[in-house]
Amino acid sequence: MSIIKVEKLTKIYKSHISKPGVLSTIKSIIKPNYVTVKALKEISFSVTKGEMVAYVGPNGAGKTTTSKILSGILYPTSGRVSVMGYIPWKRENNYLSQITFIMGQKTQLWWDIAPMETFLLNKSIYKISESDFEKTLDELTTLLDVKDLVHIPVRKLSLGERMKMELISSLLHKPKVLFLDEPTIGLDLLSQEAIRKFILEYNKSYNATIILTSHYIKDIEIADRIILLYRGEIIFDGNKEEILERFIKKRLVTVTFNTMPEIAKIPYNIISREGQTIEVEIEHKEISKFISFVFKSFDVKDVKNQDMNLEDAIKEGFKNASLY
Amino acid sequence: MRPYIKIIDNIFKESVEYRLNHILSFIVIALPLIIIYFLWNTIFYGKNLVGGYDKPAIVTYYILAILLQDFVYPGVNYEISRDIREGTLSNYLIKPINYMGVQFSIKTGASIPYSIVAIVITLIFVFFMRSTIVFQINIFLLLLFLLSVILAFILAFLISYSFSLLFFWLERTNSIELLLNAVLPLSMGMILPLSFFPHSLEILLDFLPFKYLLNFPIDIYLAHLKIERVIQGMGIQVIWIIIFFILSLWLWKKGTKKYQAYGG
Repeated sequence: MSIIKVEKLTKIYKSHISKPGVLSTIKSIIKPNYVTVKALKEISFSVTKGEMVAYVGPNGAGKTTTSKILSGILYPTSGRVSVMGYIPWKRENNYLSQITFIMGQKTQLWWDIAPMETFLLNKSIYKISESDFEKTLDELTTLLDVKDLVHIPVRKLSLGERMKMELISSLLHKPKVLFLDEPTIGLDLLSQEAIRKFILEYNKSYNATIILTSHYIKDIEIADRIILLYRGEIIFDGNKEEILERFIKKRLVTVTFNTMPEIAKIPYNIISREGQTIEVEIEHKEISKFISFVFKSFDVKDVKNQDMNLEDAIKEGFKNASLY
Repeated sequence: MRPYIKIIDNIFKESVEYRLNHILSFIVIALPLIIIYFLWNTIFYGKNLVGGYDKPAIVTYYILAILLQDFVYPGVNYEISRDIREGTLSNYLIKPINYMGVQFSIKTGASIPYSIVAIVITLIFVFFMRSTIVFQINIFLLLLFLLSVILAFILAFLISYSFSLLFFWLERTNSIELLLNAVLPLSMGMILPLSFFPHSLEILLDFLPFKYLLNFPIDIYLAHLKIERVIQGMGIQVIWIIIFFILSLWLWKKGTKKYQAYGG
């Protein structure tokens, strides 16, 4: 059952352009210059309950715009969106009580006072009962290992600690749909890992639906599904295996022989040779055929199949898209 | 109501983190009081009445004007303009909470430390100048004064909120600020009591909201108004509150459609 449905969603931003100089400033008052930017061009997709979707694209592709429309912050220019049966930009309280939006680059915590004060404010905004609050807070602070920090003013916390507080404050009301916008940006490796683990854990234990935006490959890897967005259009929508298959056409296989055969007997594209070892570039679908061929024909010591690299696949996808 | 009370609490806790600011605001409040006292001492030299006020009335007028101005000055709300231009408004849009309520709570919360400082200064001042100050002992008048100050506080908030919502459409802040800062201090009665102005201007100001922010409550305290005029004035306060309330709801509805949530 799909919990998020997006149909032909389009968002056009209109903004002033101001040129330097007094004359052009006066001109622009009389006749303002506008530029229109198509941030989203009729995109459609749907997400099932409990699914974690990585929403990936270069800067300016429209990722954040999508999340902002789905969470009710922005009005779309055209198209239909339904999340749990609600139209997000109507911003009904029932809807807002069930979602959250976490921005890695912006804080929702009160800067000069302890995170606990923000937690308590959210407790009253979302009408969380005393016992639920205690229980959830205990659970989340334990999972993220920040129990001792909830009474320290936010400005004194490290970026990683602050992000953890950000997560807690946004999840106290146990939202069913989460929009995470670069939640690991700027964090050290250990904090990144802790937050990734936590997101996955939350996804599993609450069967929460998550739309995750990130540029870090490790964040993307934890998702069930990847949507690639390029200049406001979806260029790929599927799981990891599918993305590799689609965009990685050729792979490198390294073969080490016990006795070196004649090169001419290997009818494949050999790109390097060093002692008993050769590197062969091979079409994705021919790999198993190639491996059984070398084993059958020669005295082979070892075959190494280069890992399929998700990052390369994504880059390849964007490169392909930029050609059109 | 709970979230709004918690916001007031948080704002207060936040301001405690910056105690020094409040000590500095002592100077900001006290200095003009002293200057004004000596200025009017000179003006009153050899006279009993100036513009219908005697010396104690004028001194009291300015004490009240300086103490109240922070509550009732409807200047641009930087919190709101920043929320709109930098995109932090999104933090509120994703929560089941009313933004006008949030801002009203913030304004209320921020007024608490100022009130404490203001009361302390008044007490000191009153102690030294007790001979030249009007002490209002009529409880009924004091209650009316308090009520009109509360109405003025609400009206000031709504005017400032409405103007600040214009930042959904405007890129720069200076023009509105210049306009407000040119019109407000004079028309509210911050610089001079409005009875010093020509009669025609006074009549015009009777219909505008600004007088009811400062000059009107102080005139109640000084017992310068007949009871009919007090009731009429409060009626006008309420009417302006309703007008700006509706205006701000309309601006909010239009503005959030235009909001672009910059940054992040």
